[in-house]
Amino acid sequence: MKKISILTFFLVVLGGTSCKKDFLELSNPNVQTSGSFWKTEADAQAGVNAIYQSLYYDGTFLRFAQCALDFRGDDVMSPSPWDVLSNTGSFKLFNNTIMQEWLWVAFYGGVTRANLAIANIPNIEFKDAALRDRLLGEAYFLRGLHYYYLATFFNNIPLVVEPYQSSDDYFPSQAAPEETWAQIYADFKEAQRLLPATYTDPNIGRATKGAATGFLGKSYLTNHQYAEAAAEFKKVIDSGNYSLMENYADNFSEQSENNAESLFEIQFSREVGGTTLGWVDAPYSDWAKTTARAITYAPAPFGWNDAAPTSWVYQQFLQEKTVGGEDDPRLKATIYYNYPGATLYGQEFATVYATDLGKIGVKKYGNGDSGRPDEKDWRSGVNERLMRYSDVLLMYAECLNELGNTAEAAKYIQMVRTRAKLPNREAEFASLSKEGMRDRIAHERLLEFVFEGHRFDDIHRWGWLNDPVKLAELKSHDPEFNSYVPGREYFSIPQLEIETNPNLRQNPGY
Amino acid sequence: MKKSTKKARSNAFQRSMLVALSVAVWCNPLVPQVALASTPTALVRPQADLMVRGRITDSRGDGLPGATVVVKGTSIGTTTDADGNFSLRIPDATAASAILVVSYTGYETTEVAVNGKTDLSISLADKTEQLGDIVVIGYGTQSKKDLTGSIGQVNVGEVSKLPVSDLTKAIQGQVAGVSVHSGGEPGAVPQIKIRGIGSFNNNNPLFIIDGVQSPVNDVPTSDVESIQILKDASAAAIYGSRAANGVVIITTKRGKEGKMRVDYDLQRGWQNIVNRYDVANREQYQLLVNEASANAEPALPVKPANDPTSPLFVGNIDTDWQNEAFKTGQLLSQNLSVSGGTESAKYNITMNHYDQTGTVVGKGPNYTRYGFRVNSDFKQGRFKFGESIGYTKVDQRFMTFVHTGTNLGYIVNAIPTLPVYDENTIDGFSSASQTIHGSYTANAIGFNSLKDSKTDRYRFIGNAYGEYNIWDALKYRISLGYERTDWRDFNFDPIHDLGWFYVNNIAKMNDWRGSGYTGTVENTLSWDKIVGKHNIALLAGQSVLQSAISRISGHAEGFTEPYFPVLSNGTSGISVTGYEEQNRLLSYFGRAIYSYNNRYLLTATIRRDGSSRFSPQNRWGTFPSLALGWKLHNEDFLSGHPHISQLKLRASYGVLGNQEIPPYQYEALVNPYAHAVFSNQLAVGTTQVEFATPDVKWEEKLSRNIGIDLGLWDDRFTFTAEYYNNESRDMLLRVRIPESTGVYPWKSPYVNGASVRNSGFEFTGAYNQRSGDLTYSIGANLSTLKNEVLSLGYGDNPIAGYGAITRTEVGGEVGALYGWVIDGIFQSQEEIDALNNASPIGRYQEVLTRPGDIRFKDINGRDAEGNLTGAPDGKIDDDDRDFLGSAVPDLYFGFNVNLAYKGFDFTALANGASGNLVFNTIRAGLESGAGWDNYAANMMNRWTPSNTNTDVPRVVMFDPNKNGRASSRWLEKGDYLRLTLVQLGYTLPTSTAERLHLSRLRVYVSAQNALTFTKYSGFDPDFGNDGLFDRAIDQGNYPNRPFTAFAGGLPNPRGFLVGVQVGF
Repeated sequence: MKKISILTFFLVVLGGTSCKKDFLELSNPNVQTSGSFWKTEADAQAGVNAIYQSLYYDGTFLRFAQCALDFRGDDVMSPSPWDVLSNTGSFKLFNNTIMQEWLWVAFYGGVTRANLAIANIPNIEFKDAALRDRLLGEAYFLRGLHYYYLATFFNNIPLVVEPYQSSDDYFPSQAAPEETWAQIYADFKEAQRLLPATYTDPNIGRATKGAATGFLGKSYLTNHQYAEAAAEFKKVIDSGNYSLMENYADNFSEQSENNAESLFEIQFSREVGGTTLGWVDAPYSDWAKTTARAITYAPAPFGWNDAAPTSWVYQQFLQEKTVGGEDDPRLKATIYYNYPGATLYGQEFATVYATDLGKIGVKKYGNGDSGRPDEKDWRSGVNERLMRYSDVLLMYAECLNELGNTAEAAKYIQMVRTRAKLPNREAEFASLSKEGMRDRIAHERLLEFVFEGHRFDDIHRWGWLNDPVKLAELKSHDPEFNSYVPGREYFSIPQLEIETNPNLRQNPGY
Repeated sequence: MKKSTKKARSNAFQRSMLVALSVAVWCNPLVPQVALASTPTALVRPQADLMVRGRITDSRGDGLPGATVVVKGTSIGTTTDADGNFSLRIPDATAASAILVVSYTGYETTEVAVNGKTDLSISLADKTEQLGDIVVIGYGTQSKKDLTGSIGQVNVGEVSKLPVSDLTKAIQGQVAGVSVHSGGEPGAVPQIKIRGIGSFNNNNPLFIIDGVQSPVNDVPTSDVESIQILKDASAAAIYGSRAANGVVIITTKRGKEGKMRVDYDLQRGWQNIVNRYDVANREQYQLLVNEASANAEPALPVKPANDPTSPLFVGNIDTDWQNEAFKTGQLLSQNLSVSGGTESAKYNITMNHYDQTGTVVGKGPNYTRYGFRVNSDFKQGRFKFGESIGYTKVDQRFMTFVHTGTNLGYIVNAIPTLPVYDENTIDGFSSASQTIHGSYTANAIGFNSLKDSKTDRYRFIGNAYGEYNIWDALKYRISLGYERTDWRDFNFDPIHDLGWFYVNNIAKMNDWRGSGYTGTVENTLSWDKIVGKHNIALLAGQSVLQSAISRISGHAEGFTEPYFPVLSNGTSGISVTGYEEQNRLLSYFGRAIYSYNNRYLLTATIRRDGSSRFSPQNRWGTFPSLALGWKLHNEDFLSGHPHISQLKLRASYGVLGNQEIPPYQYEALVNPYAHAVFSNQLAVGTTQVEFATPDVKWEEKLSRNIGIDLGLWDDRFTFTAEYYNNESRDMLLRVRIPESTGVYPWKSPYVNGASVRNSGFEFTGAYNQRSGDLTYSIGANLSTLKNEVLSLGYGDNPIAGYGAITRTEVGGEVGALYGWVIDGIFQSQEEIDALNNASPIGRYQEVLTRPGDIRFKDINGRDAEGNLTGAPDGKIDDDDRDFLGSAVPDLYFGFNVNLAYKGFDFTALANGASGNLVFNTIRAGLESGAGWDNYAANMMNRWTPSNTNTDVPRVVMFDPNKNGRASSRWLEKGDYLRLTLVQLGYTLPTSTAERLHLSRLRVYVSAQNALTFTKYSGFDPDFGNDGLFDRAIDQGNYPNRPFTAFAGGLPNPRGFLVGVQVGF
């Protein structure tokens, strides 16, 4: 009797622990598998939203993309004690710094996400065909945008346009730059075809037809395809959807985001929650949707002072007064400097910098007028305007001039000047030579876009780096150009990327 | 009826005892020489009582005072007098069959049948005598003399003398083939590796504590009875699936038969960091930093603090940050144990308290542990039950800092022109200014004083077993194991200004909570039988394991003063996150141990495991092993040899597995947190941002071992030599995939991506001797390690680590150092111009390379197709890097010396390693010559136009020549030998102790890490590291926080300790 009960006990114990067939079948309780995703309209929307999220990384517009774009210009220098930043502007980066690496991985992250959306959305059944077109259009636009920046930063890059199927796909070779640009044109064209012209709440800030058109034009212009570029810019101008804001400073504040002048901007917000800055990694639920550009650029002691205007660009602003005899309003919106009544972060400029009244610091995109005491909580909600209508106007002018229509170009330049309350010199400019007009456009673009990431690409496009006279001028504007080396108009391919992918070759100049 | 049953059982028991004793004696000449030496006396006719007299001696015949003698199964007992003599009256009923249980601390407990004798001489075997030991193997025990596999035993007696919070740290240098690396801060978690780098993913061995799979941290050393390290497949294959990195079996102390014993140990210590980096003083710093600014092109303005013409010039502060930051750490350790029992019920209950404060000014690091443990065993007829339950609570504070950074580095490179304290600031600590000082200096002392970062950890490790003797030698055993850890990590960051880059304007806190458990149910059937010359032990078993982790964390900001850092008091920035995971393992295993004629040994093991971490088609792995042994000393030609007491050859071969990757890796998942913003509202984003490897499967390790065990002169001298050659295949690791996938490197998918061979020799020798009152033993172990990478994932691409300064390549070693080769210092612009003119791109190195910069060696170039030529190409670029040396020590060694003279005892332990290079990152920072932080004092010998005969390059801001690039300049030999412990103790004579009503009183003094022989210039050549691709990198600290964030490590301290041990 006793023995039987003991045996029963063993059998129960053994039987109880020798388990069912699915005992070892455990699925992740946190998230769904990718195989079960991309099935519904909601999946498609979420999948496209996720592409935009790649623009919030440190390698994109949380911080480094702005630094990479701005610091190499002759209008901006970096007094940062952090060599990753200061060496960016002086073309001296080690091949293994996080500057190139984070740019590379974050922009490619967007490409991968866009490839997934472009491959999967056509297989999803939509009740609303317009929604499907819009989502696909957004994905094409964003892929084009990410490749646009990758191409301008690195030039010789792998061109991946399909989702990864197997590990063999992880190791692409570099495409010829023409091939990459052809893909960028194609993506923007497809986006242009599919996207709506405008949005209403709650979709304001998504890519529009105008954004695709503007970037298509800019891509052509980058490659000196002036006729194609001009046609696109003309479409934007003729659309009637855009106009210049009366107040230039409205383009860099949190108050008038997504305004009439904006073709595309990255939507930052302090109001949508999240406490961790999304620097680098797979995104997590507590990531904020803010940018650290303001703390990075703001002058000490309000921010890190990692960027500063060159004194040359400050002087350029002073060359011309407004029709009312005042300083160019763009100067006040762009740079902190000592003028009567100048304040920043609630303090008098003259008090803060009493021992250094010649101080100039970065104002644009900062929160110095917001009532906050400084930028040191790292979080700024100011949207990053990637393309403004004034850029379209000036790029159109550039195309017109290059296409021989210098007189027509003067009209568009003056539109931008007029908003800045500068005197009407259209007639004078109309009579300029093609060369003269180039210099005029260069000057007007300089003052309009300091700290907006356009200057170095302009210099590059205009060929100044290959022109000894112009290069000498650049060096006189900004001694950081003393260490420029031919080839370094592009960043080095990140060293670890070359170590990891043997199909890649380093860029010339490194 | 009742009586006869009892009698029969007792007869049977006696018989089996006799068999066991005879076998034991026959097998093992070192087992106590029971009663055989006693003077045969005339058989005494049974009387009312039997008066038994005797003497208890150690193996040399000296009387043991205070030894316990108990009649088995009764409470009748006594202790021996000062000469080891005892007398005991045994009642008639038990006299004929009485068995005496004799125990004494430090000696093997022995049972002696009285057999009617009245005068017994009982000799106890010393526990430290090695080859006779019973060894705990997986799911059982075995005489060490019968072992066929490779098992290292830790001398727990020695180890428990080390003042360290973690058991694994104490193992350092104790066992050949086992390497341990760690810093020395309270609560440091060491890296322990058995026989090299067996796995890329998780190198930690499997720890089995009283049969429970559990982390080993926080287990008090004083609770430990034995530590066995299973090194080869034969030993470890019974744990098949998880044993690729070796298995460490830890057994805690259990009760022994005898009267109740109470022991109390108290230890008090003081610890210090002794090494310092030699850094520039104020004048030197200002000279160097100003020169570096002047050398920049264009020249940079001199910062006001360093400009004698400025009103802000600092001329009266010269802070030595290292001396300000380091202080004496304190250690307090106490243990109380109560143990005893009868044949049917034994108990051991311990309580302990360990408190260690770190060696840095501020709130951390500190480590406080409270623990208790109850181990009991019960026996009734065919049943045995027992349990071991340990619970610890740990409060650990960390050295705090703003980021994951090198805290020590920040103490070292802080500028001397800044005071530590400043009562005019908001927090009382000084703060460097960007405009005045320019330096990134963070007030690390301020951080450690203001911020709170701590972990509370509660760990339960429990095991309950039941055993039933079903029939004859067939036994069934069920064992339930459960480990559960609950933790809370807490971090509070008040408003502070500790340097211009280290400003916090909003008080914030994080509160992470989590728990994890591992539960196992194991059923085993065992059958042990001696049939003639055949000795057979069979085991079959089944096991189920489930483990899970659950975490939540909360964040809140906007706390106002006075601070009450509780989440509810945050006024903004509130967020909560959570995470869950689970995994399971189902296993079947069997083992046969067979010996013939006590000469030929065979062990065969097989285990089959199914893991939830792999997809259904790759779920199961089978891990077999086979080992053979030959006890030559029992062969006719050697038996009775005057010198050779043991000579055994053994060999093993087998396969072990590893599955230690996070769960759910075989399935591609989406990330549901990729949200965007439109219309100023959150728009939910989901997409795939990581990739999976669906066919990821078990990692396998082929283990081959041969060994020889030699004992001479009654095993006074013992020697073991082994050779192993292991091959890890299909190793699981995250192989970095190109970032053009958008995948951050640390999120690369797991693949079965590499194979590595580790091979080495291991030698362990010991000599024990006694002459007169002096007993001594000397032991040494030495192991070599050769590591070779056989293949790597994705077409054998090399794996680059730590800023590309380490490179793991097929045919090379794991984590080999890689960089540029130094070719001297440029002495003139002409020299640079000549090289530039000869360069195909008009530039040899960098565009701003100037005299005083380092000239690197041109060793490689590429042809038109982009292939490396191996020939110089007139320019320095990434292709000119080369392998610079090994990160893996090729030799590890340990020594121990024990002396005892009358009441005095002395122990010395030493260990070390050699053959590896270390990348000293703190020195690289101090000697970069390129920033506003402090400089090494030897930068005063930098190149200048007037000091050209030097190998120290010029100073220049932002290092335009990249003098600081990865090169041999930062590599140093990591060889060291360290005297980790010297202890001198004195035990009071028993008679004196008894007068104090004590059974034992010992006092001692110890010196910890008193001497270190090394040429390494950093704080400590024994530093915490990842043990893998970046093992050469001494970051000055290493993340050691077990669950969440990083915290700073500290060098191993030098300590002085006193202690007292009392027995009641």
